[in-house]
Amino acid sequence: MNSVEELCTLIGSRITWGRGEDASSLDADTPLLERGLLDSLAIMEIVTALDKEAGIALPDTEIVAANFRTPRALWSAIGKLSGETLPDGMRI
Amino acid sequence: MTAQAPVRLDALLARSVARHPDRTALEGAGESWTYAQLDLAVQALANQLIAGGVAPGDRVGVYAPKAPATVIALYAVLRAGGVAAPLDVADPPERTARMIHNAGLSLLLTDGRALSGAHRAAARARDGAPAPEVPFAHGLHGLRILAPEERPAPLPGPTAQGGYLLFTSGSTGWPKGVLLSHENVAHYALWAADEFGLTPDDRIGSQAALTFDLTTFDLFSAAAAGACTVLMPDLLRSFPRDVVGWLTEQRITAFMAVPSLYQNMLRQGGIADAPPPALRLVAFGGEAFVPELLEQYLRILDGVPFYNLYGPTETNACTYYRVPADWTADQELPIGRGIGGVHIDVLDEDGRPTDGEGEIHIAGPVVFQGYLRGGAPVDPTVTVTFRDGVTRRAHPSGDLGRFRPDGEVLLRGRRDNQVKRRGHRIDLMDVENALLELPQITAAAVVAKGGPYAGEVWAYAQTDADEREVLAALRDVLPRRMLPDRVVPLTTLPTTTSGKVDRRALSETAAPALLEEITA
Repeated sequence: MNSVEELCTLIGSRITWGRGEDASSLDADTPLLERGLLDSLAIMEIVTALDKEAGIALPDTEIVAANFRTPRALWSAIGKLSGETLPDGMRI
Repeated sequence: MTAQAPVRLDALLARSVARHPDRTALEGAGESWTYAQLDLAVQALANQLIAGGVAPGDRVGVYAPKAPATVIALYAVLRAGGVAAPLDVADPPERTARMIHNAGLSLLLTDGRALSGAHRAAARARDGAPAPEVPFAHGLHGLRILAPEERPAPLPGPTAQGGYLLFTSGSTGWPKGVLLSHENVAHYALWAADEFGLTPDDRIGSQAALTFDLTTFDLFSAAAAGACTVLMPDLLRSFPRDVVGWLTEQRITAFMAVPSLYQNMLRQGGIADAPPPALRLVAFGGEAFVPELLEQYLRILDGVPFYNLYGPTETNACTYYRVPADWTADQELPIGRGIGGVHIDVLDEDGRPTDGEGEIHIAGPVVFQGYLRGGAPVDPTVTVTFRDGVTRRAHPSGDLGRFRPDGEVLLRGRRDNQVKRRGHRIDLMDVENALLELPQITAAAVVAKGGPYAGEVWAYAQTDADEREVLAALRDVLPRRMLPDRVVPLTTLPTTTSGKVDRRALSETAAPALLEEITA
């Protein structure tokens, strides 16, 4: 995973969108929680997808509201993870 | 306690004002309100509501995120003699509109953040006509749904003087309004305050949406005891680690929540490593607790009482079981026995008390007044003779249960299509009706899955649309908590030899791939 845009795509694919809205309306600063886009199930699906699709293991201590307010906040939290939690060669 | 005259919910507040005017009653959103301040604000808003035309028995919706102003609004409606109906701003406007219509709400109170959603729901309930708006104190707005002459007929009995209205998933696709009197709620609130030994020093953590019946404890048991209700920010609800941190920071002493939340606080929230030090009372209800996790909790929070509460929205919590400190996961976990003044019986299909499995019937001062449909109340209670020979007005809960020899009741599932998912009560027919109302669906069956998908709700639909399209359409009409976990498009639904949809086959099929076998 190389950019916050890729992260937006991953998050957008885990949201159940209503009619007339879709993942393309999501950008790095979309207030995910205030807009009620994420429920606890979607959050766990995003965590699982980060692990499976990007090899990013988000520890439980990082699964907090402050990190899920916007895609950018999550991107920043991922960037702060210590190198050892990322597979070799992974760029953030 | 049972002998005293019925207590009004707003009188619980007034009583604590007299005893503890300077104690903190309510905290949230960075605000702190003493009992005296809260009561003053409630009275002022109640006066505004009355001046604005709210009459006793009028049903008033409170559609706003959880904040002190929302609590003030609920109390003010009660003080004005109205029926207070908390509504969830996260629900789709179409669903809220159905609640407004079914309950006969004449006014919607909302705040600035929820105003546009409130207008959408109000307009849908008014056949597209925008609702006139009036300003109220504390940044609240009133949306007039019904003109005075359009108001539904007055409510009968005690709710003519006001009450509390909660909604539950119904089998028709329309949320059912559960009409509770002041006494119905106050009886439970007073019982809980007494049983849990609440004092003015207690800080009660309120985490659930105010539309959830668990929160009547947070508000009204706190008022009964002169304790402080601490509102958890809505945004933290999905994050168990934040909830654990919040319980610690806010020095919460008493907490009531669904088992799912407790379980997640243990699995992901780190509560085992840092138990909230002030917590002295834990209550749960709404679904079964995973036994192994409950056993772990009893060790982690050593000495803290754990209460299992049971009760449909129609009766508040009506049974309780204090989990013994040495309880282990290999033991049964009863829902216990009736709270003070409440009678519980288990009746067979002929309506006779049985020692075997039967339907749990609930009688006493917590039993609701009826469902509101099309603005009018319908009383679905039955008159039955309990095993003590006394004939009572009872609520047939739809829950199956059995008495243990020691008199504690064990829960044994449902007799209808209702399921619990993450503590939320969902009628599968409610979801099925929502599907059938979609133009692209010709037939549908919604089932609770078994096997590897146990706990999930799946929809099987005869449609050309794909899963994503169907979910997007459902998103417009159902709250997120009620969406099926999966939608499986089919060319035809499997049927039994009698020609009915074979729900059992759908429920038991392990994976979508196996469906070809079913449909073949």
